[in-house]
Amino acid sequence: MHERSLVLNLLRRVTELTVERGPGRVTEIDVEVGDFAGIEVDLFASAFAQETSEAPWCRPTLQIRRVKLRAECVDCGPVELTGMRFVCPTCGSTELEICGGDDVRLLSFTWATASEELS
Amino acid sequence: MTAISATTPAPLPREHVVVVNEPVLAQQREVAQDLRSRCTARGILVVNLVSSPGAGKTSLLEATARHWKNRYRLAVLVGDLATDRDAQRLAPLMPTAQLTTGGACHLEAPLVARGLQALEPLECDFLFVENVGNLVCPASHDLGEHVRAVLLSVTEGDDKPGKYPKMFRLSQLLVISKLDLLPHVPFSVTAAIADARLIQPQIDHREVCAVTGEGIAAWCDWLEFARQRVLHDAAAARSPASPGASVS
Ligand SMILES: Nc1nc2c(ncn2[C@@H]2O[C@H](COP(=O)(O)OP(=O)(O)OP(=O)(O)O)[C@@H](O)[C@H]2O)c(=O)[nH]1
Ligand SMILES: [Mg+2]
Ligand SMILES: [Zn+2]
Repeated sequence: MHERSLVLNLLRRVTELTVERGPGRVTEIDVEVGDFAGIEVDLFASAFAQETSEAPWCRPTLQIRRVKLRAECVDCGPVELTGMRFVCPTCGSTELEICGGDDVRLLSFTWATASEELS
Repeated sequence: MTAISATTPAPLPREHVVVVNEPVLAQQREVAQDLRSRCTARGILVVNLVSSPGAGKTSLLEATARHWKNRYRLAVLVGDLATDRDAQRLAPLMPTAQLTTGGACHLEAPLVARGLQALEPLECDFLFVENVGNLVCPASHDLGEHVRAVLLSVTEGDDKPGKYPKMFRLSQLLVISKLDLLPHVPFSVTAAIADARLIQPQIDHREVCAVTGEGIAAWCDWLEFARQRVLHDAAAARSPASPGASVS
């Protein structure tokens, strides 16, 4: 359910960013999904397919990049966390600042326009 | 070779990549941040109450109002999929606005901001937001709260923090509810707290029973302290003139 709401937020933002661009269309949307983003990637992808199957969308490709949960350990610096355990894999400290992999990010999108002779 | 169909337009020749690199929820979070600062400035502590369905959020709010009576001014925004049942329970106790999500499984900051508007003019010390019962989706949505309290009732099992890590990681307080039922269920309060601390070492905990009133005073004290801390920090941030001054 909340995957669909994220997709709607994503598409609203992309629309905002394309509104001033004149004629053209979005052919690809590139997102980053962290291990700790709290979404089901399959549900996100199917919600995306459903929401972009009709105009003004022309079935853009969804590119999903998975990233690990990353944290800054007070003693060891940047570390990657696995298995949802919030302990530094190097020193066992729990004093960690999460610094990535806990979110869904819009990285980029591809905008296609017709060249002069076609338009 | 170029078959042009009505449903799938042929690729357009010029493509370029527009780099954005921002969280999908960036705009929602701005709304949340703005709501939080406005509430801080007005002396309001915003509490986001989350739990699985039926863990006792509304009952806890009823018990809180009974405990404080007129000591503090309370208000509540109640998230509900479709009905106004919780709003009807709470309306006699405090200013109440209903946030109907229309089937969505969580609240989002813009809806909360609109709900707050519906309560204006509002004078209050604590604004509660009762989220939709769900331990998954609401976890990702900042509603502009100062604190997030997650309720876990003893009938749900003490293994739940590890199963819903995001919610417990992002909460400041674990409220173990329905304490009166403890003799009837295999639930270890210490195991639940230990499990939550593996996810969020800093999480506080309180144990409550909305039926007998046990632990309600301690929960209210926690809220009172959280409010003082937020207001104190805000005051300190406003007057950075004497950084060496001692904090009373
Ligand atoms: N025995 C016992 N029952 C409780 C307690 N607190 C709540 N209940 C009961 O649990 C049920 C659900 O309580 P609610 O307060 O409606 O729970 P909720 O979290 O607001 O529910 P939703 O908003 O639907 O997610 C009701 O039947 C309450 O009477 C408690 O401390 N002890
Ligand atoms: Mg309720
Ligand atoms: Zn470390």
